Amino acid sequence: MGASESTILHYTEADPDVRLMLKVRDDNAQAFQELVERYQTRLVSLLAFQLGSRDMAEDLAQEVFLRVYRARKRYEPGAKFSTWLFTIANNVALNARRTLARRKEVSVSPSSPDRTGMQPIQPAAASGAMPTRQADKAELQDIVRLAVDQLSERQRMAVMLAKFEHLGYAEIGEVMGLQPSAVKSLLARSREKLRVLLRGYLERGDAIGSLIDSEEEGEPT
Amino acid sequence: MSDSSPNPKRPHQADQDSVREQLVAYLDGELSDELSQAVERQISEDDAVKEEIQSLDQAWNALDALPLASTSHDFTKSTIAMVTMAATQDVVNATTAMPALRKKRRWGMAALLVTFTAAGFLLSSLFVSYRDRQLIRNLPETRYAKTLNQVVDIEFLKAWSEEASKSIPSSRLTSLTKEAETWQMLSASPPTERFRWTEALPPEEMTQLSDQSIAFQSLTKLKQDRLRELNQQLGESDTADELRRYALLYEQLVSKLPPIEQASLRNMPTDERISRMRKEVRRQRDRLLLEMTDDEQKLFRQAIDKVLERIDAVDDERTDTFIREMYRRRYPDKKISKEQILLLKMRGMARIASMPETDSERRPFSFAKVNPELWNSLQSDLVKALPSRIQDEIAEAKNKSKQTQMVLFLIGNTLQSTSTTDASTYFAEELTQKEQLEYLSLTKEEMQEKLEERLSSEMLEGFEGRGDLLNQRRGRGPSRRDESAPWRDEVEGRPENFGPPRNGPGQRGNGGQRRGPGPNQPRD
Repeated sequence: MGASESTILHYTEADPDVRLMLKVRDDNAQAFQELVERYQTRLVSLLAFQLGSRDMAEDLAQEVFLRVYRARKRYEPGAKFSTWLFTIANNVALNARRTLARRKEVSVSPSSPDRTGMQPIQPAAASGAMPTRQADKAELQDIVRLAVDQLSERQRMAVMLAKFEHLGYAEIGEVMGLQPSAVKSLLARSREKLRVLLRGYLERGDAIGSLIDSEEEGEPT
Repeated sequence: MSDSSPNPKRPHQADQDSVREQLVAYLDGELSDELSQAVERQISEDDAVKEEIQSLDQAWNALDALPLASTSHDFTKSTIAMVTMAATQDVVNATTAMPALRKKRRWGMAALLVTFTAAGFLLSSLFVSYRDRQLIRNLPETRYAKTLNQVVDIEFLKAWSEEASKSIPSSRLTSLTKEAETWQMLSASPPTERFRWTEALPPEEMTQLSDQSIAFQSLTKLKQDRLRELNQQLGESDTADELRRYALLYEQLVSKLPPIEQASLRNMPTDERISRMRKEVRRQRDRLLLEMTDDEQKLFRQAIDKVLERIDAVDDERTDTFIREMYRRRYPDKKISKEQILLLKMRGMARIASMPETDSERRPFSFAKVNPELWNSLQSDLVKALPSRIQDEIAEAKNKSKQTQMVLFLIGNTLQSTSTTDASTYFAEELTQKEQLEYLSLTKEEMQEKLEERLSSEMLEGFEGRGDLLNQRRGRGPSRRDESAPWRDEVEGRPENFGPPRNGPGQRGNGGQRRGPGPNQPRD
């Protein structure tokens, strides 16, 4: 589907990554490298959340960049560059999961024993060997990861795009091939599920907020 | 956005989802100003709604605790390199049939990327494709998966090395030293060195390694972890070098057994397994002593070729005709090659020369021109090309006839291992359509194995015990399960029944690969 001239103009002006991609379209290798550098961490993180393995995520991220390169001549800025990139990533992740499911090689969602009886996740006792604050941080990470793992594949993708890529419903819909209204429902269900799963932990008060703050500030423990 | 108005009152159960959607959309900044204000009013008026939106927001904020995945330090370089390779390949594919002028234009990005990559990243030393990444990471376990899988656990390996050191001469382990060193090196090397090592492999070996990688990747994670753990335990052992050699030796011995026996061994307690292997060592001992590395086989192959040249120089048309006729009767649809005639002549000469004088009347009449002295000289040249440990073994044989049988066994083995005939060409050109269909019904590995077996059986006609043309026997090739030493007639009672080992791989030399079909995939 071709984008209108005004759309192309809009995204070319508004999104520097679109301009980079247009240079890639014109065979500018430096621009391609710049895009790889700008997006690699975000892309690998997104794919790692989807697949539960950083190694596999790196491999798939390279596959995504290869597809970007191969599609460069057909590229038209009908959306933000990140939306286009994550659309490719979503397809690659779906294919990878299908392949893995066929092989029954690994449990793709590392810990999703029961999707039906949703119960709040109970924190394990902090290790006596670790300072309390550090143990709390590690525990928080584990618990949040467990909760995210229990989301469905689509819920997880929508959550990651909204939370970490700050995409709007329309953009998430574009990436995932859904109507914005469907994204709205999907995200509402996802957030409710997270709320239920994390309830036990959250009821412990403000611990989360302060832990996250100290993490961001690089506080040692 | 879907903008139905929020219900001003506390909703019924059926409306809860709809309200939650509005609250979440509000938090996500997806509502219009008007709807946002309505939600804000609701929050200020209804504590339950306020509590709900707070807990939703809190859970959302908790996601900030998730760490972003970091990428490996060479991610950009390897990505650019991978894309460069793909770009180059695309251009090659696209321009193969193009006129020269148009070809040039197509090179745009590929040429730029290549230049860019070459200047910035030294492509040759840094390129790791996304698929190769897995291979490099698991290189030692991938390459030695079959060995590790057969060994199963370190305690058994220690017990086995003790047992084998008593019954197998240490000279036998010499041929495994290089491979064990490669194993050690790969286990201890960082990824860059592993990559350089793979880069230096010849294409054929790289392909095989790639197959092994696919096989390794298709194992369950548990199994992969087990093999990694065993490899690590091996590396940590005080006698790691020796244990690796005994592990390789063990795998060589066990791979000659039927799969069911191999599986049964893997599941046996150590004591029982050692006892079973004691018997197997006795059975295979002599054959083991004559195995050569790839490099040794290459040298011996050169000696064989020289001997064939000398036989070719003897004008003996009558024997040629005799061999052609025997071959035609055996394979009415096939034409015998010159190499096959020479091999059969060599075999005939050797047999005649090693016959006791009393058996002279059994000599085929057509070998009138065979001069036993000539064979003695040829055999002597052949033996000189063998590694000294094997020369010693031959020298210790109880008589000349046994020595000749050992030499012929080595020739058969070497010809099979160094054959350059391609199984796929053989498949396409030599098999009937019916035969092709039969082969195609097999799995890829089975097909390759059976093709290679049949190919070598036909190529080495005359070096096979059963179906020996010169003995006028009938039958289709040798038994797959005949692993004992052929020259030991006291073992088998069938001294002429020799030929290359048919089941399982041969030696691996310096970076060499196993002969034999299919990827190096361990069996469960």
